[in-house]
Amino acid sequence: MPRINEVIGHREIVQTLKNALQRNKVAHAYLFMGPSGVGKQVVARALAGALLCESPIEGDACGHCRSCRQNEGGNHPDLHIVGPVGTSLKIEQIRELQKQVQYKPYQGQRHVYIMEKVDTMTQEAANSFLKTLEEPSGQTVFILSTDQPYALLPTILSRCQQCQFRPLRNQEVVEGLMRYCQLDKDTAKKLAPLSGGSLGRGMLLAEGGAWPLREQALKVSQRLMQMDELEALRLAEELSEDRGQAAECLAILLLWFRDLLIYHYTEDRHLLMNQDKLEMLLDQAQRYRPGLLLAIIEETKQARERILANANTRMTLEALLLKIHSYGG
Amino acid sequence: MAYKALYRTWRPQKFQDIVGQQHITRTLQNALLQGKVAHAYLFCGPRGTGKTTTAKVLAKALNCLEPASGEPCNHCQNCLAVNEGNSVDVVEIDAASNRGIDEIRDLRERVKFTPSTGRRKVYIIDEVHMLTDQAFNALLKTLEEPPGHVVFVLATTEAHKVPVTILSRCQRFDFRRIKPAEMVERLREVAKGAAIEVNEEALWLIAKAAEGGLRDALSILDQGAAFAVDTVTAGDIHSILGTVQQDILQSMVKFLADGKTGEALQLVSKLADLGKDLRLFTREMTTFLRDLLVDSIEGRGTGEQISNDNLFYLLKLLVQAEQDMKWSSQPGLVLELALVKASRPELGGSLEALTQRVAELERQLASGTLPRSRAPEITMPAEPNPTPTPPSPSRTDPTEEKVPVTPVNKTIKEGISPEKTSLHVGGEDVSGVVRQGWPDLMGDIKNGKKPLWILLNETKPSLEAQGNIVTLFFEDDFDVRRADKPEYKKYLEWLLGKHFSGSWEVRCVHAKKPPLSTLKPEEDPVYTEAVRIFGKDLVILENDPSETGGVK
Ligand SMILES: [Zn+2]
Ligand SMILES: [Zn+2]
Repeated sequence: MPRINEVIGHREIVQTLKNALQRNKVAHAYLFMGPSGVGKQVVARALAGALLCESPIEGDACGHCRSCRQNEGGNHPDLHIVGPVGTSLKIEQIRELQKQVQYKPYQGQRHVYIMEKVDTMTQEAANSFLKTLEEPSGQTVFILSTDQPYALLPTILSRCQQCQFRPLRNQEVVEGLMRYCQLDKDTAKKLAPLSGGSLGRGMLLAEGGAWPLREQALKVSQRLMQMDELEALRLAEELSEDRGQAAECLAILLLWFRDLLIYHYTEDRHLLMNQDKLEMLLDQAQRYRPGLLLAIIEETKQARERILANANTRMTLEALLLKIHSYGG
Repeated sequence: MAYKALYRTWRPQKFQDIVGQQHITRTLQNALLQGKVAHAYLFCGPRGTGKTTTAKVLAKALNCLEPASGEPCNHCQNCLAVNEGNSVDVVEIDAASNRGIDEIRDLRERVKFTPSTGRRKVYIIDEVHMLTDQAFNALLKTLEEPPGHVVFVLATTEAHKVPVTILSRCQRFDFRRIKPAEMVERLREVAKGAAIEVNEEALWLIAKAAEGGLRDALSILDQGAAFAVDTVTAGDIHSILGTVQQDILQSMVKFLADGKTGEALQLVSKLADLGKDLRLFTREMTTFLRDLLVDSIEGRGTGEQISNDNLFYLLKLLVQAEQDMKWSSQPGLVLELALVKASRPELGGSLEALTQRVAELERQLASGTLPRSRAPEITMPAEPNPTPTPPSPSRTDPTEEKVPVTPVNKTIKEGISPEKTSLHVGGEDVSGVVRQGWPDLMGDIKNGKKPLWILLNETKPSLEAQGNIVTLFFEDDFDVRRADKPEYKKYLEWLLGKHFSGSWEVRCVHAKKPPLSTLKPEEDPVYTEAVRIFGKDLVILENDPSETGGVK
């Protein structure tokens, strides 16, 4: 479990939390909002660690006491983690929680609740939880997190101290990849821009899980302008086997064409995301006019949105590839 | 020590403390003094402008044991009960929640009882536009014959969603956005009272960022106080909000106007490296452009040689980008594209040409001449089954199993020739058919999936059906989130199949591009956004909302 001082990025939030801990002005509820994979959970755990530590140093967890060791092992009795069961966070879970907070904490001064994906709360659950937020009991601290704050009841939003997480900076992702994935600096630097500011995504890439798909997507990018209609249709079928993969593939293509467009106007390699494929990028850059790139990007973007919105994957891909084909042919 | 948000600790307790709404508070105080309080009020206005606060002060003033010049005393037992939130005579109902629905249901019974301690029973119904039809009916009946001891205060951010029958029975007050100067004054008071050191520049920055909502302003001040080392400075506020200094906005506008695409893209990348929130930056850009435009129209140009047309073109692109970024998983990309287009208006032309070719292609696809017939490995029945098998009656819960997908060839009842509906890009518009059957469908939904029914009944999305795809357009992005659940969509798809046969696909979208026929101009998000940046007075609706821009 990381300490607050070890959190990568999110300077403002870290500072705010440290101030609160040192000034003994901890809110009874925090809401961490922001895109996934940027570190909301890490900060939540670090904050929980600091709140439960028996001998905190300048507000932060000491890392050695019994509580800190329990946290490290993931078995602190006063730290409760609540997340969606199936697709939603349900009223039974909130009732259970409401029962728990009535009891004294086992060993420290307080209960700490980390509540993940609170946007999945059913309306019943949210209404019920609202009561708990209105009348906090004792020293209990709730740390809520969501990547869809718009989906929350405004009354819940306004009862929490809100912390807006933003995508990490490139150099922060580099730092994270070096620390958690033991990458060397050069590799990390090549990989980081592809993460879109999400260390979680970067780590996934580093573990290699996403590489085959990327290779496939980039192969598509190369064939895109030469393929005939039949090939386009065959490709669409091939890519459409898995909705998630298809969307991911289009996301990769988007970044690729984005790079081509950006390079056209800036001729600055540092602005490019696909740092590991510069040669291939620069080679392709000469083949496209900006108007065409813009059109391809728009179409790809829309197709991806449609697929994410549950449209028929194969038909969407077919339409996309045939359109792009018609641009070129 | 427990944290209590500033806006809750510093909620005004008297009319006198309510900021920026004197036109309302004075009228209410007069009514109180003259004993001419209405039976029902409708408070409309943007969030955080004091609607609920005013309602509570009114409730206190009505029941106060020692009122003075139309103000509540705030220390008698009735006032204290309201302040502590346990008055039996002041009932707050949040129409957005289940609790609200239940409470409205037996409202008619309950209003008959006379107040137990005070003189009046006050019902404050928040977000009243969220009520279901049933609840509206119950409310209407009560409003038609209100008992003498009851006062209703209905509050809403969206008055246009409240039925006219209700509107006509209420005295309406429009709360306005609070002006920055008024806001700064209040912020200064609160900061002083809460012992928060904050400098003047920071106060103005907060007031600007809050866009007329005091609650947002206080929430930013809260965050500022928690973040700052001692005095809250403008820099702290910029850090928290992720906003940028004025000169950066200036350079960006100049790059765009001068066609310096490369420089514009470089600048954005620098901002991202600094950890700035790009969506906020885009929002700031729209406000900044708006100010430039207004200055220029009113002849206060600062010597910059950017034409109004060009300013408007930039504004339009960035407003759209800001909207799109809200939902995009790649907001940076959305912004970059907008900047390319903004700085290269000439690219629009080539895009149009491409779009035309696409339209041609879609026609070919739709007529089946190209190129599917040459692709034997793609299964497509030459003759669609004229009477598709209806779902077996034993299948009760569609979410339990996969609905078989036959993407091509959709037959909807008789009379629609199947070969025209071969691919969804060229799918036949069957909106009429589906709309016609919709009430029946709703009947089934009501019995089968109550929460979905409540949602659809409440939001009344407009509907479009192309081929086998039914798209529901929700005005509110919040509602899209509520509706766009696999469970609901699967259910609707199954139900559509049951009613119209065949397999269907349902999409829920934010009404960015609703069918023109069903879109009232005032509901156009571009219009709403224009009102946000310009204020209602400056935005004029012409016959065709897409042409109000005057720029192509
Ligand atoms: Zn410790
Ligand atoms: Zn009183």
